Amino acid sequence: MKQPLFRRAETATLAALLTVSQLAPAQTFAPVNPSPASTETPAAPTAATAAGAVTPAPTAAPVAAELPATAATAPVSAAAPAPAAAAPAVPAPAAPAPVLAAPAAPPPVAAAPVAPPDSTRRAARRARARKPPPEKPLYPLYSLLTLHAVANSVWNNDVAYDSFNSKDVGGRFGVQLDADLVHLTPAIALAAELGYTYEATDNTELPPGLGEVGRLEAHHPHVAALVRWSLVDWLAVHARAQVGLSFTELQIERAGVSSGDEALTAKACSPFFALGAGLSVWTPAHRISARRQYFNSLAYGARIEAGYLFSSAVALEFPDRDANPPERQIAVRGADLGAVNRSGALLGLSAFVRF
Amino acid sequence: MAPSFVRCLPRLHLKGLGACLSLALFAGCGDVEPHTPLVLSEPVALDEHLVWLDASNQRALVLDVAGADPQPHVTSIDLKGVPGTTQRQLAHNALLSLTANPDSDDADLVVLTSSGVKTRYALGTQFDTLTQSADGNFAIAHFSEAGASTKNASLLFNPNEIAIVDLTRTGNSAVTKRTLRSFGTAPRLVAFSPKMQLAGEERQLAVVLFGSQIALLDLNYPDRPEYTIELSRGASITLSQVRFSAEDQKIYLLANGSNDVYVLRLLPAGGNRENDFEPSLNQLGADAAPQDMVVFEGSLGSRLLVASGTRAEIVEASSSRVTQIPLSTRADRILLFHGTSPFDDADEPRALLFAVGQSSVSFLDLEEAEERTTRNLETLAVPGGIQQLIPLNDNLVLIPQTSGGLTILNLEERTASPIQARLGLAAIQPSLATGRLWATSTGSKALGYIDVDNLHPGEVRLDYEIQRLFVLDKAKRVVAVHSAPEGLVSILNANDPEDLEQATTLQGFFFEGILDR
Repeated sequence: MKQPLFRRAETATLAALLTVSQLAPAQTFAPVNPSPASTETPAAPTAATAAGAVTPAPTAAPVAAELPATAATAPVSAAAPAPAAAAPAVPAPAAPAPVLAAPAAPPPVAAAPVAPPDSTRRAARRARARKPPPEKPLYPLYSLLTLHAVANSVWNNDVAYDSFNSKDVGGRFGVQLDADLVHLTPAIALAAELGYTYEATDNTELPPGLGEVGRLEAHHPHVAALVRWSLVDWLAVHARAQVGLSFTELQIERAGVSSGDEALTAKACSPFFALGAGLSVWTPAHRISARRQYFNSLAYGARIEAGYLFSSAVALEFPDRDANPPERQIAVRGADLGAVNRSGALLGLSAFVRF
Repeated sequence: MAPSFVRCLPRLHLKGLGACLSLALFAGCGDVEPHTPLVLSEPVALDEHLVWLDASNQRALVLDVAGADPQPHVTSIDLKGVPGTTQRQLAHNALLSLTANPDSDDADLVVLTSSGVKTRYALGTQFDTLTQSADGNFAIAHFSEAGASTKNASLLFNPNEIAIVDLTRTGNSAVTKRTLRSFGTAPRLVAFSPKMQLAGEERQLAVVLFGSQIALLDLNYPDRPEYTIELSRGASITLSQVRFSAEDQKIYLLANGSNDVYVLRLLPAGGNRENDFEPSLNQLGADAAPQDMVVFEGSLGSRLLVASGTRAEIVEASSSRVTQIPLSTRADRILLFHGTSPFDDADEPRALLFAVGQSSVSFLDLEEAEERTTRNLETLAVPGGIQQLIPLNDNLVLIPQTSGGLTILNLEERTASPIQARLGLAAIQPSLATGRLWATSTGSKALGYIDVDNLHPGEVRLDYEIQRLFVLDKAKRVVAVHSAPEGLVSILNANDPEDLEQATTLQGFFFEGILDR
């Protein structure tokens, strides 16, 4: 069975992790600068010696260090079986003993490893053919990207927000694209996200005299990091950290006021940060291509998320204006009207397609 | 192939999620509470501040317009009641405001300064009218005639209830509540006498005018019973004016529907009265209905000058002698002044007699007028017609013309200097400190001024239409209030109004922080 690219990468990563972790005892087994005690006292039996290595301890270290990776890992795998998840990732130990036995020769062995005989290679090939298939990740297989259509609701209980929305909840709609970066385990994946939401509200019930309509319009591009844990093959929970910028414009239309100012406007670019957690459900994956390594399946789903959005406030004021004859003879100083707090509880719902 | 129940689950979840989101969006949304609109009074100037009273939010808004760097910031003062009748406390830098508790019949009289509520007097009744003495030390809260007829919020209502407030004191003892005796009518006007010697003691009286009766109250002893005097049987007359002669301890009264001048002489009372003075009524007949009167002190003693339309009458109350002086031009108002005349350098009492709408005025030299009569009379033409009369410094009088201009009348030189105006002048503010008259017109952005010394006119155009005009003598500032719901004023240097670089417009101070409220 052919593995997709990301799956191979995951396998290689896991293999590398296992190799590093299992080589560590060998280093203690053969210290680079042995203490006087260790030079006088034979090393304690290790996994390598237990596996049948006949080389004395003082010479075993450089030999093991110079061995090819396959040769070095083979006896370790044989001596201390790796976890089940790691087993398929490591070539089967077809003939571990001869490989380690070969360097039983004096020191020059390290410079010229001995190739295994053909029978050994055939045995190894057979062993590889018999190995169990790689474990399927719980998320729809063969998918890297997720495209969301997002509807977020931010609960804004700030009084100032009331001038721009007759309800405390404002909707933000947009799209976002998730890309799986790595599967930490078959069930846990780390993904990056790029998204954009748009928000527009208005309210005509302004404080009497302030104006006729209050409008709020904002664009929110963002990036996010997401950790997803698939519980079963149709359900996952996730946690998400999101940072972005809000390009907000507040406007109060004041047509017809005697002071002649048509509108009060404030534009602000402010950062925001959000933390959230939620769950996703999806349909079984539909295979759309048997030949491609990835983007060959399609799944649909929905996600709900709750969290909190932290964002700086946007101030609105009557602007200060310098004298500018003949249009304006006298400089104007305007009062601050207040600031609209943009933080609030977040409830997000998205429909997504994963491919 | 997944089991069928597994394939159903996502669908069920989606429905559930949709329901949750809908619940959050619609059921959980908090509705916005409506804002309370500002219901603002006309602004009042207090030395370096402008004050507005906000009836809907039961507060006063104070704007500092005289600072070196004025800011669009108002200080809010909680009045703890809905402000009603409000007026400047005479001879004091404070406001007097009757505030009502909207949840009960309680009411207070609040003395308000620019820094906060100075004193609060509990009145217990929601009066709608306030009258204060010239020195601002006494105030009487009572019901107006209109209030007495329309007051229907309470089940029981006493239109003759009043509250006497000694503004020089604090606490409950400063307020005396009482009900005036009446012959079936409600109070119409309240007047305060100057301080006068009565029964060996300097004291002040309050005179409450009903339709045809008066009540005399001794403010030194507000707990003592009042004198109630009926001047005419029946309801054929309506008392309209009251004047005092402190020298002679007399009170003069005029009434609509009567040609008589009513004179009350205040005499020491007999030993069996709780009050130590008592009034004695005298009635002086005149040929025509008197419309205005003043008391003056001449070399021969105290006299009463009465304007009766086509004639002036000088009344000597002690002898009931009346001297009639025919007028060549109609007059129903009198302005008393002391000064010289073009023919006499002596500083004597003189009178200007005039009527609104007339184009001429009469000067009457009061000294020896009873003997010289019309020889002491001089008529002067005033172009444009008289709209009102505003006394200025140095015996100058400002006369806004009915035709829209201004006339500066010099009472000593007896000259009338017309100042033409393109538009009808709506707000005219004389300022002794700046030596200028400031004027503006309805719907105009132009702020005009006249140097009183040389009558040189000047003008500066502001950016917004001027609604009200204030001249702050102490701060040497001119403040133009523009009509804008958010609050809009322009502040100019009164000494150099044409230098607009020194001017500032403040905008939006009524809505300061409104988004956060």
